[in-house]
Amino acid sequence: MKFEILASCPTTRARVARMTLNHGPTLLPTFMPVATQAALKGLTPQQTEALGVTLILNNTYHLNLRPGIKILDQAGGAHKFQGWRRNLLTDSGGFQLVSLSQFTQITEEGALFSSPYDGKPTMLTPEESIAIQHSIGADIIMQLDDVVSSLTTGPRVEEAMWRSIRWLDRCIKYHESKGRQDTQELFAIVQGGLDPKLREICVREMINRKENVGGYAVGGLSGGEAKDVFWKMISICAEKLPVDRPRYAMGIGFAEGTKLLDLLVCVALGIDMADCVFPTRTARFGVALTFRGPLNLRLKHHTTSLDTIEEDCPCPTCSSGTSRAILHHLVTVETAGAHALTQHNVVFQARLMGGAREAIFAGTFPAYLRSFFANYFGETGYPKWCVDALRSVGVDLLEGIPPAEVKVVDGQGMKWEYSES
Amino acid sequence: MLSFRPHTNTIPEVFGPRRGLISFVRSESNDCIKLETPGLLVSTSRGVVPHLSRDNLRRTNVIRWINVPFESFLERQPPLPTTLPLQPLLGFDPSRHIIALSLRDPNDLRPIPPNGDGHVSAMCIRGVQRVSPSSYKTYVRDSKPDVVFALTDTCLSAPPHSQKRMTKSIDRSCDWLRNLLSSSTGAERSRNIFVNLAGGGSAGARRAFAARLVEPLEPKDLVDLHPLQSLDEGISGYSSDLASLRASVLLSSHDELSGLIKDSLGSLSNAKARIATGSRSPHECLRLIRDVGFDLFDAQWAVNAAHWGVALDFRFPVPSRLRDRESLDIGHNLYSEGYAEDFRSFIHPTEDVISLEESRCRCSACSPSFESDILNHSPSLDLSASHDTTAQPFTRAYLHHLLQTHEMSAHALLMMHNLTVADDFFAGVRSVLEAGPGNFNDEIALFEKVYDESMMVMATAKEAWGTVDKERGKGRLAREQQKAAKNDQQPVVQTESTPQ
Repeated sequence: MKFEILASCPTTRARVARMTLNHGPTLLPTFMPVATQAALKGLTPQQTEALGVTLILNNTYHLNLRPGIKILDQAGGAHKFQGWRRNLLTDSGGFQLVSLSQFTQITEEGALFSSPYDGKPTMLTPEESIAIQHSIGADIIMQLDDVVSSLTTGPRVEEAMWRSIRWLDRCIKYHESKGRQDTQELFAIVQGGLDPKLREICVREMINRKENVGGYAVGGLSGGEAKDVFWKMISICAEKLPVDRPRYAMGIGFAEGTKLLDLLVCVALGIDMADCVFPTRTARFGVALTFRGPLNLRLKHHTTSLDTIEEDCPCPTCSSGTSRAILHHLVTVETAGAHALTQHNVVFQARLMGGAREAIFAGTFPAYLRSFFANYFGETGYPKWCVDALRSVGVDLLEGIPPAEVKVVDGQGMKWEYSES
Repeated sequence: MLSFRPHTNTIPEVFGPRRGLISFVRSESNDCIKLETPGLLVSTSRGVVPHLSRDNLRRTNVIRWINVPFESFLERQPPLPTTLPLQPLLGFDPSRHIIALSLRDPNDLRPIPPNGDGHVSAMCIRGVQRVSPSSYKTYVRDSKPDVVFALTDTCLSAPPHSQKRMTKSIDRSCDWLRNLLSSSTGAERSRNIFVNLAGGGSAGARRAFAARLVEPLEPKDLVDLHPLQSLDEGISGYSSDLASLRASVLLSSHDELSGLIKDSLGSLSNAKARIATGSRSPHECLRLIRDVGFDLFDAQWAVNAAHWGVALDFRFPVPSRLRDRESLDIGHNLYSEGYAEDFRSFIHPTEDVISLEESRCRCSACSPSFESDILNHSPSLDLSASHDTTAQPFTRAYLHHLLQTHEMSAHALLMMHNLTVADDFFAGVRSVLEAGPGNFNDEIALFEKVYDESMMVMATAKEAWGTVDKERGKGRLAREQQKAAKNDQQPVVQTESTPQ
């Protein structure tokens, strides 16, 4: 892997980098669309690439169930299986084990769970996870970590943190024993719950293994913790992690509607990559993302609008003149409606990140943040946690706004378009 | 302006196989769209070709004639296409696509209240809407289709239909056509009109309707419809709606079906284009071309196959390597476990060498290519995009996976493929016709022997599609496991009907 920092924001911790992996370069910061089952919902790899996407995510847990390792091996890996020629990242499969499986018990050996096939107790060890990810063949693979809910407190959090470190060592050992270091980058995952001390210890331990890992992820967040705690944890980790390694905020924004903010704030705090299913999932429910907030195209007032979703959007949907009215006619009824919104939403997030890269490169990132928030939240009020988080890295979102007009609101910063009736 | 020109060397007396050319010249732009016949037309659902996003529609260059049933737009008043015409509204390409408008979807046979003297009952998501001939005329004027199907009084109630009902049906259909042709109501006369051959399953009624089309106009109509001398002079072609025809009368053989259509066409000009919607199989298309002489088919079987997970794989004329085979499936039910490890593309002859007559399928699933022009979201940090556009064909194994995991892209890929196979099928028909009609009959007989017309493969796939649709979601593997265990205990439960 080649990781070159092209520019750094003089104010915040944001940076622009070029990460060159086995399947070409990806510019950071970036957002990764999620292709859980080896397909971005409704789109072919040709369509996905045309949207300007260079890095997508596949889920190990799902691919291990279907099509299964045997078939992936025969196909020569997930790239060939799905016809994707750019970069690919897989998670360890551990998170879905906890969230989807009926019983999971963590032991030092690995995660013990009931097999979704036959209900028999099955063990996923760190070695096993890496072996599966070797078959999938993604350019970035994740260590198996001991995931605890971010709301867990007490000694279990510390135990999970230390176990994740031990498991990292096992993952590294297995990965290197198979000689895969040159084609697949192993990322470590920082754990430690919501305890700053544990996070710092974990980061320190993992920095000790820097020569054996390609990058770092911040894990164990976005499970329902307060936004205020969320950004502080991201900030602590991002600040301490080595400058010359990419930093990935895992699964950020599990709660609907807040992802865009999470993403942008995380970039300012020094994060380079984030994944989320939001743009593709919300598309299937008829929601289009715009720089002025989401549009719920199922609502009645879109029935007659001949405007496109967003005026200057280069996505295939907007550039072919698809009106909001015809989208209203199609969404949630015809698959082509979901395709159209998925294309738009993926491009929207790519533009948001592309704009951030340009701004960081030009040294105007604080202004970019201010203008995004003004457009997006001008009417409803700025979420307090965003204002605080950005202040911590030297950007005052409220700068230049007359005090009488400043609106700051508590809560997550959800923005949603509701029916008027 | 739409025109149809049968190739002079092939035109039969009245009935029989024929080749021809439909050309459409757009007066605003002088774009000329050409469509060789017999050929393929594609129907839309809610204004879109099923499963195709606009960029994939563009990639599927076999789509030239697009039928748009208007009824789904009736859920809002005014209907959307009256505020923005169909072409810009639906994103079709004026230089490539001919847009034809009908009120109803001819393949929708759901029960519906009968039509009245002054209205046709149409179906939309909010239920049944009545559409009068004059509002239809307004819809046509405002939505600006290239071709219009005139309103027809089709009896969708259970047969038999009384003679009185049939008479009424013919009267209404003629009245409604006259209304569409008339220029007295202020609206400009619609051009490029196709008329559904009314009369249902009654030979007499069908002949009577055809006679009404060609008979000289009444004096008062001569003024209204000036300069037309008969209704027939104002229309570009005839359409036969096979789905409703089959529903209106019990047909025991293909000959009966084609016999009824011939009853209509017998007294009509053979120089006008003939469209058949609702054909059940490529076999039926072949026989209709042979016995009647149709020019365009909607090939709904290709669309259904894409819905249900079948990748079509057949050719006309039958390739030499298959000529001694029998009852082959016309496609692959990719739900079947047998394809889980099959890394070949959808169409792949067993021999190592693909002969000249079987070059690789040109669809975007079998011959995909990456775009050379991709979006760049941070231009000052240009990634120097790869201009290599070569992509690997999609495999049966991948499609099997997509279908099993209920991923939508499976149907998009199958749609692009199946429409291409259908288009190639008609191209094959044209090439055999060019060689001579005697040859054509032999090739049809061979096709009927080699490919299974009952299309069991479609039924099996449809069942698998239903199963995945029902089982999917969290805990699916456990549910499947339970079901398998149950089936092991009682292996003879075969009569269990699916609750749908």
